[in-house]
Amino acid sequence: MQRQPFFGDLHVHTRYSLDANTQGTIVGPHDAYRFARGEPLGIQPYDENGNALRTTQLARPLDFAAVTDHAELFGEVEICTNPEYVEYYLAECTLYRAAPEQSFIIFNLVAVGLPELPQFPVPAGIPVVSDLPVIGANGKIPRLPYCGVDGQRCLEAAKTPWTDIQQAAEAYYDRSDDCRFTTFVGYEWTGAPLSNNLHRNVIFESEVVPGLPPAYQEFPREELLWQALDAQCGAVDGCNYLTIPHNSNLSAGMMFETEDRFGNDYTAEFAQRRQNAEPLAEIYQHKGQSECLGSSGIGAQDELCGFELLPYNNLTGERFGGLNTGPPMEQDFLRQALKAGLQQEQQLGVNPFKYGFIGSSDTHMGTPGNVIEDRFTGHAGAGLNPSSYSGGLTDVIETSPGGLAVLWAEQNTRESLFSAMRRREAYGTSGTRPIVRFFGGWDYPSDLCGRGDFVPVGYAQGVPMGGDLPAAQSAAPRFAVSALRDPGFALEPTQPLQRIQIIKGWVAGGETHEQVYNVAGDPNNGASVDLDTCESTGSGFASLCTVWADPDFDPAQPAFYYARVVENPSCRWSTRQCLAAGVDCSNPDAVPDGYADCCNADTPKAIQERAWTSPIWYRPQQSAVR
Amino acid sequence: MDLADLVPPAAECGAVIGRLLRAPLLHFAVIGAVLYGSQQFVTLQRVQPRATIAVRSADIERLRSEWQRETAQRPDARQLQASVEHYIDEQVLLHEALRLGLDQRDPVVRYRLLQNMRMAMADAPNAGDDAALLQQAQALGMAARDLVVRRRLIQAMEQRLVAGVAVDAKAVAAYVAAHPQRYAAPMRYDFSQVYVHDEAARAQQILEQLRRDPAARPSAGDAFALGSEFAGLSRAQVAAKFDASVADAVAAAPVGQWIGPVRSPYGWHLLRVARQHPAQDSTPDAAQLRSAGYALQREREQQALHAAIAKLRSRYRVQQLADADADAGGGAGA
Repeated sequence: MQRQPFFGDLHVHTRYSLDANTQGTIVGPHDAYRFARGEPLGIQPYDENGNALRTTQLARPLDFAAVTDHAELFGEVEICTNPEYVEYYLAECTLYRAAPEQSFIIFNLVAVGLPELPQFPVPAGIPVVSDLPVIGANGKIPRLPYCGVDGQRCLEAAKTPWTDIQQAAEAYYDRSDDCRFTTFVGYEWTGAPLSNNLHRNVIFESEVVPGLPPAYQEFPREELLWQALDAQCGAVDGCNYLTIPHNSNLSAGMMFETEDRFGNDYTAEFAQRRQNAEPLAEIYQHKGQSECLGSSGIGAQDELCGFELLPYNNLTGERFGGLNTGPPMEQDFLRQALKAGLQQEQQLGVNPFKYGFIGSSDTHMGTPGNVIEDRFTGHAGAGLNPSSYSGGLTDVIETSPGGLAVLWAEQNTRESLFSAMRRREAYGTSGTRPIVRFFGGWDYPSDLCGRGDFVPVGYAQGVPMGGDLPAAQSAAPRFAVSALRDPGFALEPTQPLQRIQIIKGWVAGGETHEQVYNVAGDPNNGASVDLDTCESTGSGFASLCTVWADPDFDPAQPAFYYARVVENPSCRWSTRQCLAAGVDCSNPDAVPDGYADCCNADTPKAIQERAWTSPIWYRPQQSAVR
Repeated sequence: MDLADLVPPAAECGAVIGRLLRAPLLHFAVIGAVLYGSQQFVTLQRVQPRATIAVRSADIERLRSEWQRETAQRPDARQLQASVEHYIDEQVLLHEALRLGLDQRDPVVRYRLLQNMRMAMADAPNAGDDAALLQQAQALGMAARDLVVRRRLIQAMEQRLVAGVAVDAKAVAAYVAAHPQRYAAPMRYDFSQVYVHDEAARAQQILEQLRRDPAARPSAGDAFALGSEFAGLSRAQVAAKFDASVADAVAAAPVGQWIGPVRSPYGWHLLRVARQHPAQDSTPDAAQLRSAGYALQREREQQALHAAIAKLRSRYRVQQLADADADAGGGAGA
């Protein structure tokens, strides 16, 4: 069966994230999944009969989604306060959990250096959902089967956020042959020492998940998280996980450090653990892009790195007048991390930073996939502070609607999609839905774009995005890339494609390098957008395709290649809102309250929506073979 | 005191009355009446409001601006009123949670309160004593003021109110039947396509070639990122991938024949439907029934919550206050 692209959102907060939303969000995981499936979502407030006064709906449903609430506040009250349990679970109950993201400043400035926990034993013989009866005793729906490190625990305990999250994932996962929608059980591990962001979304392959999600408070560094997940999930039959770092742009240099928590250099084993746990990274979301800063010296002038670039380097942002933050740092961006990974691989034999790319929203409103520029309602969370809001722009001006995750998979099932994530056959978009195929090999025919068998040849003679080039079979690798524009939809007008670029990073003589190649389309196609009307002018491409050979290839240099597909310019969300409010910056006194940032010259008025494919890696043969 | 002492002696029938007053039956009846009366008294006490929930003009203003923040529009009167009602519901839940002492028991709440107190009173002599700090937090009314604690308590209260909601197999079956868009299978198609990016005439040539010689197909036409083989797509899914005209053509195509060229935003498509999977009404398997069960349970929980809050609300007095009248006891500060 030929693989198809499935569009989804792997970063969604609902009411169980206590930093979510403002009006006491009542959008829970069930509602979030119904919204993702394209059903209208009644959102609050409600009239006296309990009917919602507002509804919202995606113009195009998603194919999959994962609710990823902050684990740090799930606090399983019933377990910890029921005297029958307290003795058994005292250790767990007394280790209280961390604060939500909203209080990250207080929490992370105070809570550093937390103790490590001993591991709990792992039970055997966990039943799976299909073994359970549909309706249990007394007409109750049976509780979810896996109740954690001690299998009995939650069988008796009352409903908790974590069990509700699991039930919602079960309720809206289409297990029929139609495969209309896939959910994943997941959560966010919210680690941010001193507000430097190390957050990870943890995604589980199936309904078999730990009884309590390992959280930052108990497992305060990523390696401790993986250790805990290996013990509580990896060692359990049917439980598989991966972790997806996000907002490396806000980690103040920490996300891609090449040391462990004790300051020791990476070892091959450590690098391998990271590579195994983290095949993907979120390249774009509400809090900006993490692709590139565009400041890393010769050959690195990449003006498209200015896209949705946040002007600070950690979660503190503009609070405290920027006192606890600094300008963005090159090493926090994925392009630089991929280059550092090549260096590490030369030294260790293993690449710790072998990341494919996805986008997601990080909505804190329980609205997965709500990522178009037009009608952006804000995502709350770390965005606008609601108590100081009095109308105007719907979010902090430098934040973004976020993007989508796209997975190439045989069918829309958990197994198939999870495999796609594992092999990194994935790409991220900035919210629109272009289709992108990217293959690497050594002998693709030059006329491949003029043939209907592009896809089977792509697989047969090379590897798709996320893969490793096979051993060299010619003088230079060839990359076949084919893209279709987002056809749009009734309420979502989209732009045609402008160009395809291939970005190469490599290591020569121990130093890292990068180069951006325009390989298809036309960067000077004259397309533009009128910032006074948001009308687009100029033409673009409905589809683009090329076979490109690296003209500067040196077989001794390790390298990676990824494609960036760029659309014609369109108005940024803020420009649309400023325009709708009739803001006239030539008359500052007349600018309405809340719209002052419309006249901030630092914020771009137009954007070019885009897609970033996962890289394809080349590794010289003479280096250590793993 | 004997009941007889309460009754003044009568001259004529004093003896009779005296006997009556000493009869066990009467004692029983009178004691019953007293008990009944005191229960009525207690009940009357109970319907006295548990607390007053103050809605201040600042609260209303805040709700108005939150609405605007989320919708980029000002709420109309009805919308604002609903926002206020929701706010009151939350206040009721919060008061109930505090009344039940959940703030003293919930580990998340305790942790958060202690954290706040330690931040605020880092130099205080008893900063290390959890019990003392929690007591102080309580005295300050911190549980109602801290956003995180407030939301946590409301959530915990909601969970208590919906505990025990159940569904049965018959209700699940009815729910499935009532949601065909979620549980019934639409008609689906397996099909092949050949894509031509530029002109209809070339597409027409290829079509004729395909009809003569189907073996030519694997490399016919141009590269198309979605590929050439599609399995199990509904009409709506075809429309989302190509556009409506291609979806219409697929739905109308006779099985096993090449048709086209059909125009889309990408160019021209030649199509051959290999198989049609007929639509199926809602006859769900066990896994789907379980899914539907969880969805229905959630709906019932929402209804139960709505009813429980309405009942609780009747035990509180709601008062709208101008800011000058508002005291700190409203408990709901933003």
